[in-house]
Amino acid sequence: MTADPSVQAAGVASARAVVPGRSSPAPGAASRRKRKAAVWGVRLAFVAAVLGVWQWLGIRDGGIFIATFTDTAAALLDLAGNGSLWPAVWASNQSLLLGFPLATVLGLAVGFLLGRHRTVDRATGYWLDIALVIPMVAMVPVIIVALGLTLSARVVVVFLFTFPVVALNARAAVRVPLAQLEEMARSFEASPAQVWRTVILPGAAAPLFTGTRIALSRAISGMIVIELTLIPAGLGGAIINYTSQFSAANLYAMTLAVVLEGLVLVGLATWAERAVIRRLKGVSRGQS
Amino acid sequence: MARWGALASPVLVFVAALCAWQLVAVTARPGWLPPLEAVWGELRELLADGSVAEAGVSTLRTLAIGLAVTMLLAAVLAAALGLNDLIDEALTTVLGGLMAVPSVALIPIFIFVWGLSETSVVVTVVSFALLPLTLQWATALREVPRHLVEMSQSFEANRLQLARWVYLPSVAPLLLTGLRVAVVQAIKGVISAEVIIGTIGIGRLLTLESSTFDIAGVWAVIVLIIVASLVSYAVLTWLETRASRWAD
Repeated sequence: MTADPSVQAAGVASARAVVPGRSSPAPGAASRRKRKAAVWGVRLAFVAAVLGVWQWLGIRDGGIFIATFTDTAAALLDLAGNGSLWPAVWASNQSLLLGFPLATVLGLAVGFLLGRHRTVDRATGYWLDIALVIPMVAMVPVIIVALGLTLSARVVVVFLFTFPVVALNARAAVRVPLAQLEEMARSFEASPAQVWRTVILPGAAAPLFTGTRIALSRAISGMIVIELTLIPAGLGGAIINYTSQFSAANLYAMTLAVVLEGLVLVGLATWAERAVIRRLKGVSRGQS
Repeated sequence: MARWGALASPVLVFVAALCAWQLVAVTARPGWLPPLEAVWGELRELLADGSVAEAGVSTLRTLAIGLAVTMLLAAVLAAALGLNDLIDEALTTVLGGLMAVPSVALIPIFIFVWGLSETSVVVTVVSFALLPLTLQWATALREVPRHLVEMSQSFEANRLQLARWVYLPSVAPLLLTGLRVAVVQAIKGVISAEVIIGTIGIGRLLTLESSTFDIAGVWAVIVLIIVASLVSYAVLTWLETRASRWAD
């Protein structure tokens, strides 16, 4: 079987996040502290450079097409204060709150099934590989014809963006070669449920979390793309509104709100992932 | 017998899916699912009257320009990340975290700045593909075996020889892996931007068909998009296996 692109993309995003910095054997506390300071210096310089260039572009432009960073931040605070931001956030996130759990549960079920049953996987698994590669946004017109300009249509879009990623990662996670461990467990007459609990799931936890995290950022993309194309609701609707009003600062502020939502939600997911995996490791160490 | 089943089962499932489609389309007649022959007819019509060629050329051009710009930027960024330990340690996590930004939300800003133009589409392609490509290429550069570099240097290999005989073979397969991931993202970017803009390339075609409520036409365009993405994906996968065989 070929490697799943999602898993590879996941690897890139997470490999560094899980292992921050290369494990250079500490030569001394002082030089380590120096190194840490240098790393944070580079990070701060990077952020300052990005914000600086943004600010400079905005000033040069006069704030007509490019709102400066400070204007954008001020507009965002304003929108949050005068009650235009939160209703839009809530309206958008309804489709996420319904579509993401649905896609996760079904995706895990399908992924587990395909990962454990070779014949089923061979017959049907390629649909998922295809679904991951094609641009789902092309399906939007069909969904609108089928469901109209409704919340269900938005939920379906979020689902379509999310489901293939969850399912493919789940399939890869439970397929991880644990054959020897499994065989040993069986030879000790472990029941299938015990094999799942003690062998398969602990090994699969890390890739499952990574998959869910990637799926979350795709779900946010799905949530926004439908609002920008055919159902102008929530944050996407507000973005379109401010574009037509030619209000640069508000447009940039709403976009920043979407970006921040993505960063915060995925950040929370990463944090939860680390916490759970640390506990799992602690448990397995405690037992052995 | 088992091998025959393994080969036949995906084909059988595919045919069964098409049969199910046709059955639902002719019995229940849902508005969103046209019969297969209608889609086929539309597809042939689109191909015959040249609208696909015109839209496709425009879309492929923006895709190619966008990918070229992405590769150029990614090469510079990946070189910085892959060859300098400090920058790598400081920024790879930051860039990995930025992968969580939903790029599609940036499209309205691009349209606001560059209008309903191909430039907006190109910028979108870059915004979709740049981060994954940079991170993959930086990983590729880290994979160069240090001892080979040192050995060649001790034999006084010059930079060109080093690049040709040490760097290229050890990174080529991973460079192509990165490119494959980037092309998938770039296609998603180009289609998203064109669907949101609605007046350029394949996105215009899709908008046109759906605004006239010609559902068979919409499906025909979708089929085209799917086939084009799968073909480009297959070509890149093939190149990748060729490259890893060559590198060995």
